[in-house]
Amino acid sequence: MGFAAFAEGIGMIASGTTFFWLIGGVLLGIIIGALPGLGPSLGMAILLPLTAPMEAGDAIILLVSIYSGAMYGGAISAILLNAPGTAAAAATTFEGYPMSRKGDALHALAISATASATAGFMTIIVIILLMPVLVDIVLAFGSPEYFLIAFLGLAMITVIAKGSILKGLTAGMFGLMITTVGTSPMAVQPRYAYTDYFDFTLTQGIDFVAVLIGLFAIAEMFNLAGEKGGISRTGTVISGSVIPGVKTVFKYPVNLVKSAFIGLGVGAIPGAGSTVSTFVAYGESLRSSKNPEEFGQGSERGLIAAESSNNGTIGGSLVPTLSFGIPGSAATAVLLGGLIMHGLNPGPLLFSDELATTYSLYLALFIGNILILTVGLLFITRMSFITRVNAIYIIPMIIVFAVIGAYAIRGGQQVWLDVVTVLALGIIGYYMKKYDYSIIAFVLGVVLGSIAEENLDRSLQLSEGSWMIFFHPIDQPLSFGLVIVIILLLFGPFVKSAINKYRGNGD
Amino acid sequence: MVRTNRRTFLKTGVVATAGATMMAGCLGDDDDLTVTVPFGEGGGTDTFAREVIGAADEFYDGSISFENEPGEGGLVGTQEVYNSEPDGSRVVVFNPPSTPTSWLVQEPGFDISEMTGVSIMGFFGYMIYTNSDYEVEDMDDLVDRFEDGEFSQIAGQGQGTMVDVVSRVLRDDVGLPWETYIAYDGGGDVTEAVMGDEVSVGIGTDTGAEAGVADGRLDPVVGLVSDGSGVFPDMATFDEQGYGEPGDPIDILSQLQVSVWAPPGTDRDDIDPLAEAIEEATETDEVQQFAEDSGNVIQYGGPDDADALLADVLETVPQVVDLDEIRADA
Repeated sequence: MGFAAFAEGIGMIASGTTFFWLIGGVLLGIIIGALPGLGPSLGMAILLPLTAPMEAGDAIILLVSIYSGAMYGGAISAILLNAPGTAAAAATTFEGYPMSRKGDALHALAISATASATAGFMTIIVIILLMPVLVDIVLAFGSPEYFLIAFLGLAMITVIAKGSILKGLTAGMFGLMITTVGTSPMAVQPRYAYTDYFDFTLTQGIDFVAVLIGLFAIAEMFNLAGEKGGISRTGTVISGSVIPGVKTVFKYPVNLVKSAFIGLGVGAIPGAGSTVSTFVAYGESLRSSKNPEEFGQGSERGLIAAESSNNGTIGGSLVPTLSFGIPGSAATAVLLGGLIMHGLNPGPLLFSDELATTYSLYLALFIGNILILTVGLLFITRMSFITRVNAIYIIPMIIVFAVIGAYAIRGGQQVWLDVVTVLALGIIGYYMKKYDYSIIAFVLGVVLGSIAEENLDRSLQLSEGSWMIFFHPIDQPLSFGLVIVIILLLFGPFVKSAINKYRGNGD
Repeated sequence: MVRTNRRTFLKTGVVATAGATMMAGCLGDDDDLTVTVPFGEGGGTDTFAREVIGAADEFYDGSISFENEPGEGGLVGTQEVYNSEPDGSRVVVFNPPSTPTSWLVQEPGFDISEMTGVSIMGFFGYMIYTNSDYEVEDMDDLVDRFEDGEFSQIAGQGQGTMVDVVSRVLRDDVGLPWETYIAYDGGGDVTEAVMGDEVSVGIGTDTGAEAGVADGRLDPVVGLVSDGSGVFPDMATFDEQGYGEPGDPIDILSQLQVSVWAPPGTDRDDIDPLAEAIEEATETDEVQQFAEDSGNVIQYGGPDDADALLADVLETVPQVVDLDEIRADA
């Protein structure tokens, strides 16, 4: 039955206009993803009603292809302009943009396309093979584990933040504080929302996509305004070709595979999503690197980690969405809406009677990755010329995109809040960078704050206030394992250094 | 250290910002209908609205576009439409008694009772489900297990939401003695928590539980709407299991009526064309097929029905729910 369904899935992709929608979806997704603030969820939501007259299979494949393309597209503006098109591409800026500054934009774009597509191929194959097991793994994670994953991400600050650890922690705490603005996640209590003055404007909190756009794109435009020439620094030569970029990805196979599967694993956990997975993968890549000092300066390893985990997340996020109708992110929520709208209800039927449709979805992702690789290597790499354009032209363009992106994020009462956030965080980000406060630590705080708070609160509610819900080795083995990992991460370097010192003395 | 050239930045940045602001301002300037969904993209209400009102586009003279403005149980988007011009260019979709109850609890600075009804499009209902490992047979069995202490917690959507209110009515009026309400972000999170046995009992929509039941990880225990469930037609309802009568508070509160509302003072001439287009849409094969596939019930009601529904809900909810207690707990 499985093979027959697989063959039918191939038939569905190859028949009629479906293939056309797949190609169109990926290309459209790349454009949507590359525009800061638009992102896959908004892009898909705008197109959702337009799919109503389409065949169900075509519509779903179009939406999945947009999702896949947009997740890759976010990296393009992140690398070329330090403006992450999607929140998930924030980690890409840390290494991709410094490479552009050094004149290696073409190399970075080639790495991005290759790492994204390769991670996509690997994770989709594994998902197709292991789908039933993955569902059980997803269900094994609950509120305590989500809290500990968020805490693990916050603990990464000690690994990722460079220079003064105090400055790193200060930046992280500042990020966490920003997430406390708005209605508290577990109670109907507005915090720092000043509803008497601003009505509902602040009750929804500060949008972290607006924070990222300001922090990266606007802050960098401040920086560029003080320089002559383009993004690639004056005096650097734009060099490189596509092939070395492709080869580079395979020079670090462990890094590639590990990051792809971190993306798959974290992406499959509802609520965590691609933003968390890219930071966890990036942090792990830095932690395990023999040359951590290269990170932040245009590290190939760091870029591969961010990009491969980003694409690995896509397949993972579809597991709970298709199995139980549990969307792990805004983008998969829209996709879920599309599935239901077209009569495809998530659940076991998608893995029995509708197995061919499910295969066709994953095959669409697989083919989409071929397209991403082709377009990414042949066409997107040519966009590296942008880094040569004089900043005087780049700055207004990016500010226009950033402001339009801010308008597009939430609309309504939050329009001005998001615009102000983008501009204010631009200024804050500029001075943070100037005075060596870790931007990464700040972003980790913003991204993980509400996830950590909500799940900590709920975990303690579940355990009636007992902290053993995080430590019990028999009742909560997964939590216990995560606590061990966090302890090793935080104290491992000190223990290792003490052991080495002891051994040194022994000799 | 690189010094920022203020003049360059101001020259290019300010002009660009002004241009973008003007452009964005112009984007919203048109005479067509904008439908605000005050909940997230892809959720139950969003999908319902996009499907039915999307189908009404064919019968409506003008184009229809959608926007999502989630937050505060639907109050953010509703207030946005409340404050807009009553010229027929904007409507909002919410589900009495859900958003009106959030309004009663949170007491924001606008009067939802002044909204003008356009139409009711259909409904979906709440139910109780349990993790299938416990093999809960029916409501009697569930109540016994709560009384015996085997269960003490119940999962549902966030504090102060409609599910929170329904859970209190279940405890206080129907006799389900839960002790702790565990709140989750969305319906999907609740089903996931019950399937993973983080909490063994949950309240949610029948459509949300469908996949978990089909997979054998959830057991449907009781339907909370006396009209029954489109998704689980064989599931016995609360009144059939001897826990009340049709028309009881639990019956009224558990049935979410997906409906369309215009700003206060909108003229009937501006409402009727949309109401008629929605009525025609509910009769199309496309919408009927959606109802069959999704388990949602499509049932049209006109502007007067919508107005009557809102008035009824705003009168009934304070009588059956202790709003002060909810505010205090939150």
